[in-house]
Amino acid sequence: MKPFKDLFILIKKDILNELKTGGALISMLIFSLLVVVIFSFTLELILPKVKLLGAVLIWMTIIFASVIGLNYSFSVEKENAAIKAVMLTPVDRGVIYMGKMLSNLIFILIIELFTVPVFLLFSNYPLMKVIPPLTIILMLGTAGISSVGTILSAISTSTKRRDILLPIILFPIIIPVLIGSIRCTEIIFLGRSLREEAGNWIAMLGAYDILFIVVSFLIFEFVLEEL
Amino acid sequence: MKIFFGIILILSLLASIITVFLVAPVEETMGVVQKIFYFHVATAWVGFLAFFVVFIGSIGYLIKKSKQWDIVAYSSAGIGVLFTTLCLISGSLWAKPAWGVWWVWDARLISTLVLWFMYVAYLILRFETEGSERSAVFCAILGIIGFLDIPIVFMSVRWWRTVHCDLIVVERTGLTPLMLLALLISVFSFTLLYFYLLMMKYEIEKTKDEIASLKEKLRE
Repeated sequence: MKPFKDLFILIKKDILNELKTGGALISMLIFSLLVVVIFSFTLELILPKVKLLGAVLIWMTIIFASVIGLNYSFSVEKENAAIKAVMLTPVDRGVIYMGKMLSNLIFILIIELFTVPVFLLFSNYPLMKVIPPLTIILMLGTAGISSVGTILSAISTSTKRRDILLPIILFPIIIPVLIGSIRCTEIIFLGRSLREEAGNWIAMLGAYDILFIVVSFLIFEFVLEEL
Repeated sequence: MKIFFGIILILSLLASIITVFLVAPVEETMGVVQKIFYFHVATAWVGFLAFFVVFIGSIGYLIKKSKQWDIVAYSSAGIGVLFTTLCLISGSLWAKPAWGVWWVWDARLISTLVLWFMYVAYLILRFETEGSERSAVFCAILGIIGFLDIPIVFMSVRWWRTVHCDLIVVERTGLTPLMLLALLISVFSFTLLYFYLLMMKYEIEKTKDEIASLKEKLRE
């Protein structure tokens, strides 16, 4: 199973790089915690029912933190032309995409692992009841963000104003993920059943993830050649 | 050939103006304002058509790697953004008298706005990468991903906003045959206008390209 072995090595490389250099993860984490804290206490003053906004706040925080991480994921590869070295290895181009996509997914999920519980605690949500269904939605939504985000960040990091370009090209594309995830999260926060009320949203999120992972897998080689 | 096309275009645009303002009856409840509808629908249609051409051009470029496909995609994106902008503006002008507000967060309006942002981003990406070989590849990738995203955007926004979904459909069902004729003629003439603009833009971009390569030769 060479592709899977390759995939594992690629992900391991990204994680090791993150650990050794102290890359973007800590900044992403502190940034998203800050956003959550600022949102929570400023809105508390204005709106007594801040809980109703919870779904929107969580996902806005996630997409902003994701942009930071995604921007970093390819700019670090471009330094010293590290990506060229990866391309010289006998690894399928699609596998390079999968590796990058999965490590981005892992990093964003790590951020969520800290940020989301903190947010839930601050706003007094029933933790035990909310967390299991929320985990599914976080996985699906984050997979959607990193599927498109990985290929688009490869594109945006090759341009002059790369930091601002990524959100501009990414946000319109991930609007379905965003509204799907927000709707599902809202249903969870209202204490209703996902299975009864959000079946079509979950199907949409799943379809989105699969579609864009497959499409990006197929066209990623064109991007790699131009990096 | 070009002049011939131009004459047909002018004639059909004139025909659409005449049928819209003189032949089609004035709508009872909304009055003259409803005339915007004919151009509004036509601009929306041209927007979609243009983005579809971007998609085709992008795929063509990635397969053939020939510059022509890229120029078609790029030219079409510009025209598409122009017509989507006109569609949003004309829609807003129509919404004010019809619904009493400039903007409603209705499914169709949100989708069109998202579409507009998507292709403005395409043009910005083009601008940021201009002059390099990358430009064509990157934009082709965005053109493909963006177009595949459109149905999902439409579907999800529709589910999100089921409340005022059928505002426009209600009006559309009340069309008399003459109104339908005016609509068809204006859609047809706008489609011709699109192809004419695409042709012009294609020639301009192609000439620009030739000049650039000539300059390159001179430098050598």
